[in-house]
Amino acid sequence: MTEAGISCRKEILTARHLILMGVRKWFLSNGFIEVQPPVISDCPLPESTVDFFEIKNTDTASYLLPSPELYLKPLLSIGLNKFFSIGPAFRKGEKGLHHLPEFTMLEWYRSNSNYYDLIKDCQGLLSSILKELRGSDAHVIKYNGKKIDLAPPYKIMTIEEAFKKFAGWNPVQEKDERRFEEDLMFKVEPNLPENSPVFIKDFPAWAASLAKLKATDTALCERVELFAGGLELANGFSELLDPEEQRARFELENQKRLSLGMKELPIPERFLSALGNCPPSAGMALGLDRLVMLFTDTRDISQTNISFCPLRP
Amino acid sequence: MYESSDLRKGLKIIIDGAPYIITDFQFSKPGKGQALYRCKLKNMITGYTMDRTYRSGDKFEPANLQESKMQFLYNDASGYHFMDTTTYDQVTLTPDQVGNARNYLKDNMEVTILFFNETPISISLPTFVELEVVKSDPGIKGDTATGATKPATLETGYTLQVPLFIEEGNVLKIDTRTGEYVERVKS
Repeated sequence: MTEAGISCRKEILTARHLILMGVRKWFLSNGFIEVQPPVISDCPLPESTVDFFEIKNTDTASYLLPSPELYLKPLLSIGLNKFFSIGPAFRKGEKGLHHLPEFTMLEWYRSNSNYYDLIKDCQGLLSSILKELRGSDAHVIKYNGKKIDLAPPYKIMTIEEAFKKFAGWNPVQEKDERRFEEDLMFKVEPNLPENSPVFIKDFPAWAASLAKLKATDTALCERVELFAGGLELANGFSELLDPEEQRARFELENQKRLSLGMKELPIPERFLSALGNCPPSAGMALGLDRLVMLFTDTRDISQTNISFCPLRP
Repeated sequence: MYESSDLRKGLKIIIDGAPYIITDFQFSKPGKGQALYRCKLKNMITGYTMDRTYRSGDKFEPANLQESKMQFLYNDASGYHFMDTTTYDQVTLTPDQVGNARNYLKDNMEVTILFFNETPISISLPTFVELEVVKSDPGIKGDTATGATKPATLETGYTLQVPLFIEEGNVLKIDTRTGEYVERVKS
C-alpha cells in the first residue's frame, strides 16, 4: 500500500492501459464492434455456481451483472456478426488470489464460427497485447518465475487427455462433478505444460453449461478453456442454440440451486426466444484482470486495477 | 455455525469431534464450477495436519476453546497437576500433552492451559523461564575459544549447552521456544 492508499503500482496501471489498447486494436482490426452491456440486470444467468448481489430498487429484484452473456448472445439474432464487450462483472463471495467480487470481463461473439475460431482469436489477441506492451515481436514472457512462449499455436489437450494424464481418470466416462472440479483445479491445472499457454477442449456433456454438444460425439461438448501460468484465463463455447435444450439446462441449474439452499432464479425467456434465431456462433469470456496478472507478473488479482483498492484503511 | 464463506486462516472448527485450526486457506473456483475452499488444518490436540477442500453449503461447528492461567503444582505417576489460581480447580495433563514443556516446569510456575469442551488439551509456557543449575562440571581450563560450551543440568532435570563460565547454583534464562540458554540472571 502506498501513501495514497492505492495498492496499485503505476507500472501495472500503465500496462493495464496498454493491454486494453492491444485488446481493442485486435478486435477492431478483425471487424468486431464494441457493445456495452448493463451493470444492473433483472435476470442473471441461472447458474448454481454463482452467487449474486441482489439490489432492491422497485418491486422487482435486480442484480449486479454476473456475466454479460444473456445480453450479448441475443445480438447474434439481430444480425450483429462480430462484437465484444469489456466491463465489470460481479459475483458475491468470491475472494482469493485469482478472484474478486468485482472483476473485469472481456467477452466476444462471432457468427458462423465454432470453438476452433475462438482458439485462433485468443492467440491473435495475446500476440496483439504483447506487441502493444513490448513494441516488438518478442513472444516470451515471464510469469511466476517461469518462461512462457506466446508464439502461436498454443498446445491443445482434450479434457480426457488432461485428466488421464494428470488426475488418473476419465470424466467423460464417469460423471463425478465434485471430483472433476477439484481435480481440474488441484491436479490438472498445476501440472499443465508451463512453457506455453494450453487450451483444454471437449468437456464432458454434463459440464456443457451453454455449449453445444459435439455432433460427432454427444458425450462431449464444444467447450474450450485457456490456461497460462497457472491462471484460468478464458472459457468459450460453440454456442448452444436450441432454446428447449437450453431451458432444460437452466431448469436443472435451478434445481441444483434449490438443493444448495440458494434462491431459484427466473428463466430468461427473451434470451431463449432469441436463441432460436441465432446463426451458428461461438463466444468466449476472458478474465481481463487475470490477463493483466499474466502480463505484469502479478500474483494477486487485487493489484491489477484501482477498482479493487479499498478506500477505507 | 460457520459457513464455507467464513473460512479463513486462524479459524478454529470441529472436524469429527476434534478441534482443528486452519493454518492455510485458499479460495479457488473453476470456470462454471462451484467455489472451492481449500484448507490446511491442524488438529489442536494431536498436532496432526491435513488438507481438506470444502464447498458452498458446507457448515462448520466452531471449536469451543478456552484458555486459563494455571499454576503448576507437581507431577507424579498420574500426570502433571495444575491449579486454577482463581477457582482452585485442579486439572491433570498426561506427559504427552505436556510434551517438551516438562523441561521447564517448576513448582508454582504460571502457565496457560488450553481447554476444549472443558477438557485440558495443551499447555503454553512463558517465552522465557528462569531455572537454577543443579549440576555442571567446571569448564576445562585453557579452553577459551569463543562459543565453547559445556552441558548443564537444571532443577527440572533438563540438560542443555551453556557457556563455560556457568556454575552450579547459577540461575539461567531459557528460551522455551528453542530450549536454548539466553543469559545468566543470577550467579
